[in-house]
Amino acid sequence: MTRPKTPVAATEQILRERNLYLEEANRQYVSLLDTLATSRGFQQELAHAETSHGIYTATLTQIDRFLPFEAIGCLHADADGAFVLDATSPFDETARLQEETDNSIMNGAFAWALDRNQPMITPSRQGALILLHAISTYKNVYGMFIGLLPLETEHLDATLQNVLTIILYTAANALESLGYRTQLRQHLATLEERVGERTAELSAALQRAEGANKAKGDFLATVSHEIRTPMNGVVGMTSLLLDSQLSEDQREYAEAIRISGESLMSLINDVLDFSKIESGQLELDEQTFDLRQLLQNCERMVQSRVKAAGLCLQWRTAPGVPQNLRGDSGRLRQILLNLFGNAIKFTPAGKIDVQVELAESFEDFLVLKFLVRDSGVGIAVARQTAIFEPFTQADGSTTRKYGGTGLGLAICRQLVELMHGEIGVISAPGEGATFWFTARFSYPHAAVPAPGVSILPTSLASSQTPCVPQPDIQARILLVEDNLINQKVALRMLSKWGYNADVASDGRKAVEALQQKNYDLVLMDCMMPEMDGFAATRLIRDPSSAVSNHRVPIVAMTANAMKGDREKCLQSGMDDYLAKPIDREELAQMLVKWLGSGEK
Amino acid sequence: MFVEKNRPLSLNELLRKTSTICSLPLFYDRLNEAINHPRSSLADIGKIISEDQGLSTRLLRLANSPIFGYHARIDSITRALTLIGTQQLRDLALSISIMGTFKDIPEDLLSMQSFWKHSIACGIFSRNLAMLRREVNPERFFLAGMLHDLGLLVIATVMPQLSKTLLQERQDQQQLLSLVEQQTLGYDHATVGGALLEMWKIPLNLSEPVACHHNPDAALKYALEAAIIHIADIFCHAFELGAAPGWPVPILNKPAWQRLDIRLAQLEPLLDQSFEQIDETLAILTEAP
Repeated sequence: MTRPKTPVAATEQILRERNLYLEEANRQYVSLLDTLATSRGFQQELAHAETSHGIYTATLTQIDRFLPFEAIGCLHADADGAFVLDATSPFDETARLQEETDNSIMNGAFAWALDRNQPMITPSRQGALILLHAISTYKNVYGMFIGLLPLETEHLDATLQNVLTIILYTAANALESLGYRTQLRQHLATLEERVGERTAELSAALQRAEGANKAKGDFLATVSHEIRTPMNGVVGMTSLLLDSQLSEDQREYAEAIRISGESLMSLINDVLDFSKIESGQLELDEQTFDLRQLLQNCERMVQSRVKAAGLCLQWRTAPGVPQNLRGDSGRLRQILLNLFGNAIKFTPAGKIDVQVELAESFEDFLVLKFLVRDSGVGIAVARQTAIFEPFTQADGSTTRKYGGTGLGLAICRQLVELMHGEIGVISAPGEGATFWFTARFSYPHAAVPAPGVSILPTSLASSQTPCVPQPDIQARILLVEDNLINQKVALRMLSKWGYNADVASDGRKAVEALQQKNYDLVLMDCMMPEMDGFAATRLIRDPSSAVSNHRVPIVAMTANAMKGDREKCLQSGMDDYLAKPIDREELAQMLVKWLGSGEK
Repeated sequence: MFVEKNRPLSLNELLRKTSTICSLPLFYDRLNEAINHPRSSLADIGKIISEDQGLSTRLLRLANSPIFGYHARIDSITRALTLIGTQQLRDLALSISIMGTFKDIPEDLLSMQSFWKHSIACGIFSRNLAMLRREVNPERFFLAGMLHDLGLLVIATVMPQLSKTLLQERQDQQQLLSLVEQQTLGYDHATVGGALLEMWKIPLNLSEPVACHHNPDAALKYALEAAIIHIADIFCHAFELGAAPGWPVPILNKPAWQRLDIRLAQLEPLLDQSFEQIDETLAILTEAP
């Protein structure tokens, strides 16, 4: 028999039990909160999950940490509204979970749970308690959680149920984010795909354009060669014809042919040059040159036209302009000749002044300013920009009067820009025009004593009497040329100056000739049947070949006036380069340069 | 009588007086402790509810009513606990038993039938708004709706004369009751209801929405809950559910409506569904079991 407790003892007993009871509840809260607080891994897995399966798996792992389920699974609601078991734990309980799911769908519990955002517990016929909990956000239902509890489970306390709700709500939000991320990725992928397509289209178009450009370049090279070869004959023969005994009428006709030929040649050169520049094929070719000699050459080349027009051309270089420079002398000459040509063309009477000034000088380079001042018709301010555009002249009506392609100044502008300079004009109608341009040059690596070097003080150099070649007529020259007319042109030019030359009609014959005899100079065409000029030159330079003088000067004469031709010639071992059609002045210069002035 | 006509009680005096007349139903704390305790079983929880025969009968009728719409019959409190949820059933139980706490109000002062109809309607609207938003534990919203005008009962019980004057003034002046109360008392029935729940240690997620149901902007922690009760109360007034035709409808708080994030198209089916549920629930909770 137990002794009846006193009221105080009874109260004390009750209070003690109650205290234990509350302590236990408190421990449970603290432990749950602790686990929740350290579930960062779960959050990370959710954030990085690439698929809904990944989210469900992470969710099941997290639930396993809190709740004493026998088996758990997540069902995913697919697009048709069907629920498919997507993840289970442990895996070998999958069949059982599927069976319980089917049962709960059949008896309506599933639909009931889906409607409510809280756990619903219902006993199953298979002897377990099924807990169902929708996985949903405010906007969407994503799936259903199913858990099997042991039948003897008496109660899941409210805190645990709330924890489950929190986890599943987190999972639902992760699924929603995943949906948005997937949509975003799809948009991005579509975008990338379209960018890819466009890029492929563009690169195909680029390839076609590049192909077309190369074809154009090849075409230009061919055209250039094909046109220059006959033109060499026309121009050369005409000048020989003019040197012969002619009647007044005949001379007039021949002169007309010469002028037409020359202007045709200059048109062709303009068009070819412009095409080269447009297609970016033109590159500057640096070499050391003598500025004053270049000016002299230019002057000499336009001399006949200046005289014919009744004009007077003078040039001078200002103090400080160096004698020797490094730059593309060929292109500089082209610009100057173009400006000289324009000045002559548009100046009915008066004079043309050419001046070169030092604009700026730096440690590595200097900038020269060239001014070509004429007393011609002038250009209205409004047209002064347009004339540097291709196919433009100052006035549409002047085209017929003055002729020309309208490419000259456009080419000049492009060349000047290649030389890091600027071009412009100062003019007013009726008051003449001053065309000016600047160009950058570097200093020569070493002073190059060029033939015919000016002995005047550098600051005072100016026009001087043109030097006429005084050739060494004893010199032995070998002319290598396959075209009969061009053979004739060259031979006649040489013989005019008193030279005799042997002829070889291709590279092989040239090599044979050099084996038998010593020559002082070889004038070598490049494109020939049997053996071209490059191959022949390489053979001549080859010490093992039977040629007696491997060092004989070789000057190329080629109609291939395209970019890189000069390099190609020099590379193969030639010493110099003349473009066809052969200009008499240039040929004379070349002879002086390589044969000396004939005083030996 | 508790009231001197010329001197209304302050809020604190009113609450102190209230605690001597009515208290939170006894079972509530025990029930709460049981459902939160890891070692208590469903049977333990069921036993606490079943001690009140009337309460359990009403609970089961409610559980089997269309507002739950479970496909099979729920025939025991234990079953109701698993299907509806322990916390949910606790809140329903409190909703029901609160009706028995204020019984001594004379019918000529306040029609209890109308009052409870208004409260139940507010509870049903709140619950359905919450379910539309898939909020956790919609019964919590039912309870909040049921309790939203609790302060009115407190004032009527403690200061019946003054209460009569206030209600008459509402009728005569076509004024909102809370404004009339503010003018005379310096506080309104919403504040009183919230303060009483707080005194009863009911969680803030219930007491704050009750206190702020006329002024949802003032709810600092449970703004959504306050907004839902506010909107549900306006529905009740607008459809004259337990409210007389002459009473003015409270002014809609626009941010509260926006907070609900519900499209107008969703509202019509919600209202239709609620109208059906209100009468049935009223019958279950007020008719003799």
